[in-house]
Amino acid sequence: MADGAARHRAYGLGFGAVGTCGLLLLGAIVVTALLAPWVAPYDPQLTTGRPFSAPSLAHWLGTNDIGQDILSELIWGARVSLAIGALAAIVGTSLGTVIGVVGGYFGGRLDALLMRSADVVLVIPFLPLMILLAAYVGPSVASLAVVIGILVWARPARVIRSFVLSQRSRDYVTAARALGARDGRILRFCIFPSVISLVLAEFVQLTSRAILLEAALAFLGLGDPIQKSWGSVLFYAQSRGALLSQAWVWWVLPPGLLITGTVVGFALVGFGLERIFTPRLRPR
Amino acid sequence: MKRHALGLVLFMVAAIVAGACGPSAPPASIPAAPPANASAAPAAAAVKAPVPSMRIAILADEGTLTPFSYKFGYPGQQMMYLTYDTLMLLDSENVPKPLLAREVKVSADGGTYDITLRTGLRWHDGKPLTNADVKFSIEYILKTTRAAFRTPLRTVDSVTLSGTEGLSIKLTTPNPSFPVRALAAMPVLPKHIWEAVDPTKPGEFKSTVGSGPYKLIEATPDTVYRMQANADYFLGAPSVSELIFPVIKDLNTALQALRTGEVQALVREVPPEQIAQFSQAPFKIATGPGFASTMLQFNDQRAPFDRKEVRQAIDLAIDKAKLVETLLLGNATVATPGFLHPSSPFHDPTVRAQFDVAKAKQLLDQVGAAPGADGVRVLGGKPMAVTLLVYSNNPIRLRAAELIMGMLKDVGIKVTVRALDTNALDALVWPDFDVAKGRDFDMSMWGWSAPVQVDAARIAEFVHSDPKFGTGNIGGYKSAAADALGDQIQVTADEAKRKGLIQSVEKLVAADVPFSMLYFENGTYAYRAQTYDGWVYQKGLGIYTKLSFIPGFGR
Repeated sequence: MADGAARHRAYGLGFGAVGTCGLLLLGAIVVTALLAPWVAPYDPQLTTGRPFSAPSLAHWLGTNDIGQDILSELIWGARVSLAIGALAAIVGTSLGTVIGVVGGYFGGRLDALLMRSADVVLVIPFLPLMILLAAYVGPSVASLAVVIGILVWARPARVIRSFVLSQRSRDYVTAARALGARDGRILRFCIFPSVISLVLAEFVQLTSRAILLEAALAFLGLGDPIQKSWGSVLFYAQSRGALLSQAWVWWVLPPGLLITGTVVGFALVGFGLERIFTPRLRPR
Repeated sequence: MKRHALGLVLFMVAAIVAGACGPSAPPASIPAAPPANASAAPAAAAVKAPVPSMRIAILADEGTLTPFSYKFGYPGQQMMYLTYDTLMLLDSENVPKPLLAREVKVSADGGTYDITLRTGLRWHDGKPLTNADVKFSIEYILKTTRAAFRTPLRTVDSVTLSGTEGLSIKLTTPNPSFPVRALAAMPVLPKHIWEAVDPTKPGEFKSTVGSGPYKLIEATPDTVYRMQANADYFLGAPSVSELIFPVIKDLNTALQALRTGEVQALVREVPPEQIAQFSQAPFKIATGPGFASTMLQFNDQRAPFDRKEVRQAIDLAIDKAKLVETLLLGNATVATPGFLHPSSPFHDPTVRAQFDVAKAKQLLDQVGAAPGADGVRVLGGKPMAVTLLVYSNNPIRLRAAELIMGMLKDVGIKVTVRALDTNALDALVWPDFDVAKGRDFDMSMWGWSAPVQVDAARIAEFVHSDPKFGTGNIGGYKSAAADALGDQIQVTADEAKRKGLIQSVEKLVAADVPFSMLYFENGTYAYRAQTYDGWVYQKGLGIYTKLSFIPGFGR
């Protein structure tokens, strides 16, 4: 018991070593993005060196095809990638939570209708539809986030619905209903608090998925090519031949590692959250 | 250290490859003749036995490659001309010389062309080619909708034949551009084959019997085109016996195919950042002026571009030399503002590119566009915030738009760049490719293909306000002076007078800036010199023209 408590303290909030690693990784990226104006060595919009320069003391990751500093592009690009990821995840989890809770709690035809529409969204070929939608609404940060959000709500909705289904028949819910509580009150005070942890875990997963999707769109040249994001850095690297020369080492690898690092960070944080909310996973 | 390890691996791979296919692909070091001797190769190639086979990568489908089904002006049209001949052919300086014709005589008033064909001309199927085929071709093409060939023929009044070799073409109005635009452009069709084809649907017909130096033996759309030399060609056998054009849609993949030897040449220009790599053996790069332009097109009818001073200010605020230096690493010619390529014999050397931020600001101040709180100027109560359209599949133009956005920000104009796919952008800027249908844009990155510059008189097509004549006036520019000059150019046969008129339009364009000319990318074409080195660079058009394969022409 005492031993468990000590370990508990050592791992902070019970996040576990894995979760803490994820948190640190993500924290570093987020803080760098937030501090971009101070930590980026150059304005990424300006030509500050000769085009296609290799890394040097002046440009740690070299320059791109029009002489902009690649490191600065990546630091500023983190803002766009993270913002789109977070916004899309907010849209996606909000939709998913509402639909999942409503479907799971009320059941019946409404549930059937909502879940069939979730099935439809799940089986739609994802990338082609997103390419079409992105072309239609234009590639701004907000519209991309909404488009991605609209396309990813189905998974959280299904997960949350099944959880709500199990909660609906719990004793405390039955008790509340027996005491005359209305649906609105039960949803707010009984059901919703119990799904919060799941919502958080889904949010984390969706964020990393949205970041990957944004990078994919931008890499295909379908995002806003003027907007600096990790995906657009990769787009220009590919289209200006970096993959065919040595430049891939400083032009393709770093954004790739950043995208991987962020996605891994979110996954590890997800593990950590699971530990907190599912006590039986904690080490005894 | 890592580099050394990589070098070692590459060396070993090279050694294995060299060992495996030694006889067919000798290592680069053996034929390494001194560079000075390399330039003698084309002359030697002319007398040498023809090269057995060459693979040239193209980047897009070209239909079935008949005069009515090829898709792009480049390379499709040039590939079609390998199979079909024209009465005249532009030489490497773009001067029309007789090809199927033995002699072309123009009357003193410029209204009649008397043409005598060569004797003994034959189609690929062995039937004789006569003046009746030429007459048929003119009449047939006039019934079709292929504008590239039909438009220049519209001034033909009548065609009369004499014997089997003579014909006389009478025009409704004298047209000094006729040899370049019509005689050197119109493919001569075999009457015995095409007379059965409905001229409203010629694109569906697949026969490719022509009279050119190559016979098309395979045209698999989206995949490959294969041509075999016409050994009986009247100028002698072409210099390569078999040409294979595989379709490789991605430029980087195509460059990789050239690097590995899967293809020996590539029709697209090598991107500036890869020129150094392809300049070393076993590769060579043919360079020369390119006539394809890149420009900033204004919607001249929409505020604020309806004001001349605003257009002038934007032109002055753009540092074209920097664009060339940064985007193309210097592999381009800075354009002069009067539309014509600086190497054109019609170009007036007093028309020069300008870059003057102070003067640009002064011009904007003059029209009352004072900077607002956020640094963006306000003109007539509206902030000068405009949208710049650009093709999303063209990374160099995207970057150009990005740089221009920064340059215009410096003078107080806010630019939002919007990348659109080709069809979406064309629909806004040039709906249905018909300027009469209007336009819906502020500014767009734009460019015209090389042939536009070959005939300097075509400058009027881009500024004349009558949509029938000003077919390329996509900005809707209106000027009484430009219209008057354009009308005169059309009917002036006298060379000196004509040149004066063309230069007047050039100066007018430079002063009025209906569009801002940016640069002309240089032609940089990489090829494997061991396979074939007999290329001829046709000014502005590059090396993938008929001239590279018919050593007998002009000798």
